[in-house]
Amino acid sequence: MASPANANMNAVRETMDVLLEISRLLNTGLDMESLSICVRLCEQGINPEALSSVIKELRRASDSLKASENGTSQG
Amino acid sequence: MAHWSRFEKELELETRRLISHYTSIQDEEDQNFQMALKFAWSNFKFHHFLDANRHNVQRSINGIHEKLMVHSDLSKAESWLRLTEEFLSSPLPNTEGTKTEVHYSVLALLLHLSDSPSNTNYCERPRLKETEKEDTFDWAKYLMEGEDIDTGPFPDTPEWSEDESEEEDSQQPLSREDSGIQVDRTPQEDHEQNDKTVQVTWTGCFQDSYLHLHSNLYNVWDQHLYNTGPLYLPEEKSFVTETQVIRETLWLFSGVKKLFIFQHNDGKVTVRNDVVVTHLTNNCLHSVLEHIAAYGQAVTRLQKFIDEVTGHSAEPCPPGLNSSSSSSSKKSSDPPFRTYQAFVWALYKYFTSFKEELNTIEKDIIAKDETVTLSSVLERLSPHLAQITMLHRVFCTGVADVPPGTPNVLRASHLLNTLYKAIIEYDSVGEASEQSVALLFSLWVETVRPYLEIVDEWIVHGHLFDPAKEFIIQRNKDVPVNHRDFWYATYTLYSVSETVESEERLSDAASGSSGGEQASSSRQHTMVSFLKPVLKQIIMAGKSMQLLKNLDCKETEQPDDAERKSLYTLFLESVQTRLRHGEDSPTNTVTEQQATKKSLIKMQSIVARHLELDDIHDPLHNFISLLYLEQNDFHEKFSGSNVILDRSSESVTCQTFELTLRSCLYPHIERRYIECCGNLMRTLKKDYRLLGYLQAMRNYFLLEAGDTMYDFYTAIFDKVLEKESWQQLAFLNVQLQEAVGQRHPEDSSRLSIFLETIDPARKKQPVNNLDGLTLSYKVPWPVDIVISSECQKIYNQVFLLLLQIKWAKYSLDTLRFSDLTVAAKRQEGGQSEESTAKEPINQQIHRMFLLRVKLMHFVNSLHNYIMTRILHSTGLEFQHQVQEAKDLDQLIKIHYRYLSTIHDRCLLREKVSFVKEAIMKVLNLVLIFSDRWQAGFGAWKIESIDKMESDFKNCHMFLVTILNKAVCRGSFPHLESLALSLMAGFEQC
Repeated sequence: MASPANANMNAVRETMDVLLEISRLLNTGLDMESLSICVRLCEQGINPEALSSVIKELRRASDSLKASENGTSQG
Repeated sequence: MAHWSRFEKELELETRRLISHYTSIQDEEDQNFQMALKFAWSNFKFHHFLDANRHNVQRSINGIHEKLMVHSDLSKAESWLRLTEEFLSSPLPNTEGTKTEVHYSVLALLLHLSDSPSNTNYCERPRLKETEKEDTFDWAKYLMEGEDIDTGPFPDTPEWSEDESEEEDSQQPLSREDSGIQVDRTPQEDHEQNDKTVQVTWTGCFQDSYLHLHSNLYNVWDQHLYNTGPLYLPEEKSFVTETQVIRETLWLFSGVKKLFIFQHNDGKVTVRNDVVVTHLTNNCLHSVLEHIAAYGQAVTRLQKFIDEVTGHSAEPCPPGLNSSSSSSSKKSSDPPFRTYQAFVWALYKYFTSFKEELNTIEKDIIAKDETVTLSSVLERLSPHLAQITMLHRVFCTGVADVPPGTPNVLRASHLLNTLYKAIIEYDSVGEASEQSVALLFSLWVETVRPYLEIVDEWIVHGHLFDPAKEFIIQRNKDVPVNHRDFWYATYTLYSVSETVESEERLSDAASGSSGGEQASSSRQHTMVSFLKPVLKQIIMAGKSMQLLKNLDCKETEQPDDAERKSLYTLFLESVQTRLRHGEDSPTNTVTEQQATKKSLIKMQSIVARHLELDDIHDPLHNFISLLYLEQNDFHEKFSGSNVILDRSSESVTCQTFELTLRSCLYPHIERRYIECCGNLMRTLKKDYRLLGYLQAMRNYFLLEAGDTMYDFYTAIFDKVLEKESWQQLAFLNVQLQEAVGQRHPEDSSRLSIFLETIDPARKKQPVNNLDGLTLSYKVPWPVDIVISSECQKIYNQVFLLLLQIKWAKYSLDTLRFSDLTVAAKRQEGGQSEESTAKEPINQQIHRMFLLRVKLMHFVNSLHNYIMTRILHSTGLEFQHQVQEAKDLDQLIKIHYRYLSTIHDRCLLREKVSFVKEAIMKVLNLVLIFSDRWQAGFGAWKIESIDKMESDFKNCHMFLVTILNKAVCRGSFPHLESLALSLMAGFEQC
């Protein structure tokens, strides 16, 4: 059960848990899935600031998309 | 280059994920998606941001900490610092080492995304909780808990609200805060709804990990899923123990609705998705639970039906069961539908035993003397579960599938038929389904009870009491008992065609007399099949009894009601004795005698128990009380009598179910039928002089009272002879009264004669003069069922024929030879010369004499044939049959047959009308002949004698040929005598 791969996997899982807590504490609104995507993107060298602006923009666009679908006029 | 492209691909993949995650657009070809992708891609590639700086990040972390401290959010500040530290020193999925640039860039990302990090008040509580939760994970505590599990007793013993008080003693207090067990948060709304209300104490606790030292298959499997799937995200689960699952299962089966694992929506039972036990994988547990839920649903459905019928449902308008809801909702106004009630009563008894079994299991669990596992419980319940499946199937086809608005009679007969068919179906399987047959049989025996009681009441008291209109025979309200049509039109037999299931109203089929039998054989009735063989007897007995009741007969041997056993009791007793001596009957000497014997004895115990139940009350009282039971009483009766039926031990083969019925039920009905009908026949014959009236009909219509009728018809004939008008009603009636009053004064008031105006075109022949003369005999009420007006019509036809023959005979008989001879002598003296040219007068007269004798021979043969060969001998046969007749219907049939026989043999049938015409011609000839004879010699010419002779010869020959042919064929043996005598007359010509 305690193979190195597993140990690593568990450690990573713990890291992600910690990260999720931080994210919650900071009220970033990221859930586990988006957090894991973000971590992988960061690992691939994406600029965190750029990423954050993309995420914000995506949130905003998706919100307005939904709002327009619902027929309400929201910026 | 290759590396670059792969890197790019991965990057693009992640970007796509990110976009689809946020925009929730699944279609990657979507225009919006492509736009978002382009936007993200260009931002990632062509941005003007600086790389993440670890100093800046660290400064921000410290800043936030400071800010939290300033806000005196100490615990959070501490968590923040510790969490970030922990994160920085933890490994990342694809990055070597700790505190790398990646770590900082991730933190930087979070910081950028953080929404007002300073405004800690805003979402302080959730964060606090989350962090605390993370912090308090405690191995020591977990290990202690492991110890607790072994030592601690049941933490989750719920409270049983009512009749489970004995469990209260064994209930043990909560010994710990079981992880996964919390105080029930769902409100207990409907305590009064169920018999048992349990408090489910393990609802709604979700814990990310519940670990057990040994039983950890779930965790191992979960771990495996973690390892194999990098994106596996743990779902929130609520952990329960197997004991909890078992107890919920037991409760589900005992009809509890508010459960945690099993959820009821709209009559369906579903399994909660997030329930797990530690030692089973999710899928495994669910497949078992789904199985249980299916049974639970069947139980709930049946339970609901029971509630509805007993009027105990808490829901005002139960969904799903529309068919029976109508019966329950209208209960206050409608009379109770007893067949359903009886069925429910039987179901209820079954469920009582089933719940007892559940209770024993639950007690075993509480006692903890042995290990109880879910599979062992299911194993133990499996015979019950099979039975429940069967019951549910029967219920579905027999009750639930019936469309709403169906009349009760159809529902009742459908239910009984379904049970009956199910028994026969399972019966044919043999040993394999002993239990099922036993259960079905007991259900059937219960359900059939109202029917048998209705039948009993009807054939014993002559009163068809069926307020809910559930019996297949219904009384037609508009026909009073003392009506002539009572026997035919009083009852309606409902029957259902097998294929279309549509109702057919066979009015009059119930009468059974003429059309009933053909009707029942040609149609495939689904009317309660078990009654079919004795249906006729039941109808006969019932109608006879009702008639008898209304006849207020003098000697009625009324069975004492107190001592009399109801049909149902008799039936149960017979079943009992039959099963006791089952091995002796030839039907059971097949195979496995031992097994059958054993099982039969067991089945007998069921019946015995039914009998015990019955013995609580006098059967009749019981019956009446059942009729007037209020809904509450009904329920009290349900819950009050502590009937314990140990059904698990019942193993019955009634391989010979139909034989059982034949030997146990039918004889009682048969006996009752014979008794009733015999009684009725006796009463009719003795008190109502049925035979006397039948004799009177023959006396007057068939002229058996020869002297009386002779007086009557000779008076008419004399008038005709004297050429006076006889067609006056007053004259006819006076003649009739005089004739009858002398010898049969009792009938004189009943007899009267009528003259119908006849189409003058038909009166061309003298013989038709008598047409329109109809005799009428007033038959008093109960006898007019047998001697109906239709019968009188046939009698009248025969009467008319007889009168015509008598007339011909009379007119021939009254001719005097002297009339002719004297006239001839006178003429001889006067005109002797003239006549010498022609035939001598004497020869003419001689020819007349000869013709007269020939005609007399013919008429006398015919007269003899009809009066003796036909009417007398057929009458004797008829009298004999009447003595033998068992029931009124049979009597009516015999009478009809008698009438149609004499009608036939008097050649009145349409088919042989040519024979009758020939005879009529001869009779006509006779009348003309006698007319001329009377007129005296000289009033006719010699040619007319020739014509009369040839006419008679032709008719005579024709008749002889026809009759000879018929006799040679042998189809009409009775015609032989007529043919012979006519032939004899013919040869002498």
